[in-house]
Amino acid sequence: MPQRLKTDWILFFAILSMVFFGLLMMYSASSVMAELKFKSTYHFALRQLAWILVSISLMMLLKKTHYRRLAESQVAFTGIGLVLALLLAVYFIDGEHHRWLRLGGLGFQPSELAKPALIVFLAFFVSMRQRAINDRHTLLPAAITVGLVTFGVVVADLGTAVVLAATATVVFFVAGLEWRYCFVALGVALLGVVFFVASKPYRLARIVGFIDPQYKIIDKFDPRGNIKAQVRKSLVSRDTKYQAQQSKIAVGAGGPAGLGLMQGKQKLLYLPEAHTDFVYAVVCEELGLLGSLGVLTGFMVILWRGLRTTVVAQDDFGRYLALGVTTALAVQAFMNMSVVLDLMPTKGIPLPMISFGGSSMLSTLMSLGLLLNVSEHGG
Amino acid sequence: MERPTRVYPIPARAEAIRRMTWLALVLLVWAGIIFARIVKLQVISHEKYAALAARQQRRLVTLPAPRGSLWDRNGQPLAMSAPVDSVFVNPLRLPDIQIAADILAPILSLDRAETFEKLQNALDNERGFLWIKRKISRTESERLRSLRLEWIEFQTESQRYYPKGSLAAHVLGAVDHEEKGNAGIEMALEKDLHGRAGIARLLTDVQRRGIESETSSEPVAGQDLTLTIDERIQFAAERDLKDAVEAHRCTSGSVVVMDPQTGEVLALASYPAFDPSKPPEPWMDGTERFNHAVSVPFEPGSVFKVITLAAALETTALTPETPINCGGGILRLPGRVIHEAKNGYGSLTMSQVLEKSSNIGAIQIGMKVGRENLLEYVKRFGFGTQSGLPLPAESGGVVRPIKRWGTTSLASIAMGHEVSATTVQLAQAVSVVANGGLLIKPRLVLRRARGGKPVADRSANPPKRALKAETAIAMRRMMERVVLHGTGSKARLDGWTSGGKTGSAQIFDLASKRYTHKYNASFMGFAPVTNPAIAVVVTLNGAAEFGGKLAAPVFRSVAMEALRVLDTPKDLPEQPEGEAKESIEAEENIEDDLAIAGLGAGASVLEDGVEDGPRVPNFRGKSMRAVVEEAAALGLPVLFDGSGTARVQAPVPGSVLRPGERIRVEFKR
Repeated sequence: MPQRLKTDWILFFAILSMVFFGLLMMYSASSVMAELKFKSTYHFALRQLAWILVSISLMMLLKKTHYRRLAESQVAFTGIGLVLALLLAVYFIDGEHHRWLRLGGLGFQPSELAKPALIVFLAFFVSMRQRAINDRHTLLPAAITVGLVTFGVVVADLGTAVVLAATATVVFFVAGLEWRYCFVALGVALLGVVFFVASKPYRLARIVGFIDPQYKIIDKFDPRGNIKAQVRKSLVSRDTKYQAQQSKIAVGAGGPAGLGLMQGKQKLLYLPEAHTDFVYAVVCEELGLLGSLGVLTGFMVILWRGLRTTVVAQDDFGRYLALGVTTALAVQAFMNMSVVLDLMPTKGIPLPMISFGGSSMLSTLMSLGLLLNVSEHGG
Repeated sequence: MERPTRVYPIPARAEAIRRMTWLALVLLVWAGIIFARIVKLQVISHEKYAALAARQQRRLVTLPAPRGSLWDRNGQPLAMSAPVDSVFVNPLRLPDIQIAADILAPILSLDRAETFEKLQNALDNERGFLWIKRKISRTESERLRSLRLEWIEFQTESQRYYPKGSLAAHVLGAVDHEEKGNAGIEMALEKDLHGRAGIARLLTDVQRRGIESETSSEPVAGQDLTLTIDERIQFAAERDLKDAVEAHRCTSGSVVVMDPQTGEVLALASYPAFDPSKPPEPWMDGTERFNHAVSVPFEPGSVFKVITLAAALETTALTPETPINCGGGILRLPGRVIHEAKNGYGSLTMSQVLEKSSNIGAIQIGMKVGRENLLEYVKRFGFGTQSGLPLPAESGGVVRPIKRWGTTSLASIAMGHEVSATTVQLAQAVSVVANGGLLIKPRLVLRRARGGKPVADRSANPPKRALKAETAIAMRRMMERVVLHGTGSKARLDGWTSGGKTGSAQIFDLASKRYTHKYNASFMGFAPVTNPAIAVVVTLNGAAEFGGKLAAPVFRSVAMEALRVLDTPKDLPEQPEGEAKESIEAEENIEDDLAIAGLGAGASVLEDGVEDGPRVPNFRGKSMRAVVEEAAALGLPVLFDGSGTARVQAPVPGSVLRPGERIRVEFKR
């Protein structure tokens, strides 16, 4: 099919500038920790740069590959199967966090790979069953698959699991899922979240720390103090509010003008995970409104180009692919920013393209490669 | 392939787009909330969070300023500070508190069980800081440092040394644990000595480790004060005072030696003394820290007749030769009878009234002077107001206004009762006579310097004329006669003329409201008579005998030592030694070279090679401060001589110091 392909330059440059701006800010945020732990301020930045180069290459590769070549049951099922296998493997290999797969010196998080795999699977499945989306035979397998993947991820990484569930819900919603199923899904998701929150004391502590740090409400409906005892079991409970407070201090202290690049003070170990989950706080502290609104705008641009792609996409597969990528990215980014701004309880979710983390960079840029490709074909 | 059991309507593209619009809207609202939150935190609440950030990130660190040193007028060190180490640990970071106690206790000579308990306590209470021992010796510090254990941490603190021991303790005072003055000049001039601590603002990380120091104000060193005290005169005054108080079983005493021309206090001694380098023990009631020379006023008694007579010379027609009828030894005053001598002195000249210290004579002279005039002269001599010495808790004594005088007050004051004064005030008063009539405020600080550069002293107090010069000279002659022919004969000096007045005031017991049979025995005098170089006042409190007998000999020995030290030319022919001893009957002649004799003995014993005692370190080539510090660290007594760098020392380095022996170090520029 001869077609003049037109790269979505706005999207492309938005991605590249976010990635390299992110590298700079990640360097700033990580320098103190790197100096302290590894005696080199560049320790994290160099690693990140290597991951960026690999990820961009993969993104360019996927951008060049026609997305319809992925619309095969082999690809969709192999991807999801591989991810499930890896998740199972990592559960036993990393007995502590169930999160890291280590090969030589490189660490990798299979939960991050679950995102592109699930998106491709959903796009394939939904476009195939487009006509019978509300059929039991569509919903049941889809629910089982999404449930399996989400369950596989949730043991290690609640944040990513929420992103996955949200993405799946959105894709099905747009595909025409009846409202009642939407509510059922919502209810199941809510139940799942409650269950998983309650199962681990530190998760419970985080949520309680966000909603009711003084135990005022909890004391009313839990007079025997079971929940309180459970929360107190976790050492983290002491600093759930602490993390949020330190993050707010960073953002607020930056003020409208910011303290200047590299001048942030909260990264002097006050801010936990300054270069990963709370890198946005460092951006806000050092660059002020320019940084905080700049990053928000960057994600809005990608969101805009992504939604535009879903409209102009040539076929259903492309549409749902673009929708999945865009939704996952936007939800993850907004969730991370909400956590940093203390609008949401701490989840442990990186800011796409900016936080330190190879797996996250890889999965994000691969997904965006798909999006770029769909956009090109849509014109 | 597809086997639809039920047919569903194909969702229209329009429906999908409608639903996507919903999605876009939700995300847009979310972005809007994030935007609002950013504005709230970064713009509206910026100041609140900036303050919170500053509070946790910044730490103010004080940079201690070196405390000023105190020197005597010849550059002998009296008090100086040197850095010492203090040891602390973070109990939470100790590998094992048992081992820590095992290591620390023996080196620092602490009780192991106690140390362990302290550590355990700190650990239980999650305290991250614990002093193990403050201000440790150099050897302790070296032994600890050689262990190279990272959990043993050191803090440099400043330790005050008093190289002369208890010498001039009441002048110098003492400092507390934080090196803040709590007595004497150390307390009164705390502000000048202390300097100003610098402030460094540290940017700290979450563990309060300093990352960088942001701004700082430099510490300003304290002023080095050169005192007017002459260490040698001070030594003699303290020794003679102690001997007298102990020999005559007095309760306390004080001696002040002043240069009457300048007001410079050459010596100020108070007994009992104390060791400024030792903190007060709980069993001490603190009285040994009373400075009897400035803080404890007493009724001066007969010495006060000098003021009465001086007032008479200026305000009445009386001259030293005017006869005063002292009658048969009985004077009836309203409600009071004064007895004197056995059958009275009969008629005495005014000069003789002073010589014999006739109370009846003094009262009659006082009556002639009158209330207003007498009070005026009492004040002119500086009584009733503080002398202004830089010493804490100085008393101004009591001089009542006339409206509170009783019927016999004029008579009482004329002979030194119903007023009270301190030894320093008496020294100031006798200086008026000695220097030709000027009231000069006594001074203790000769020079001030900061970092070697002189600092201007703003507290200059111009002398005030209290007496006409001729009155002062007439008084001098009358006081000389007291020494030559009167009650003060024991104050006669070998080689110098002297003048003075004895005093023995009965002590008024506040509890029983009566005068007891204990006296404040005093002597105030000057020498030589024609051009006095020194004014000396001696007070012995709670004495059983009179000032002429007890206080005058102290005056004699202190004054002679001071005149020798000051190299004052003699104005009397030298008396043959035997004759001198004879003329001063039963004088316990205290040999001044006691200390030197001790040194000589030690040096000779050295040759025997008896190895018993600490080794003498090599001080040669070191600065005075370094020597002070080292000697104090080793606990060795050192005698300082000269100033500059240590050149000669005896005993020689490496030899053994015998108990009681002192190391003499000579300094030269």
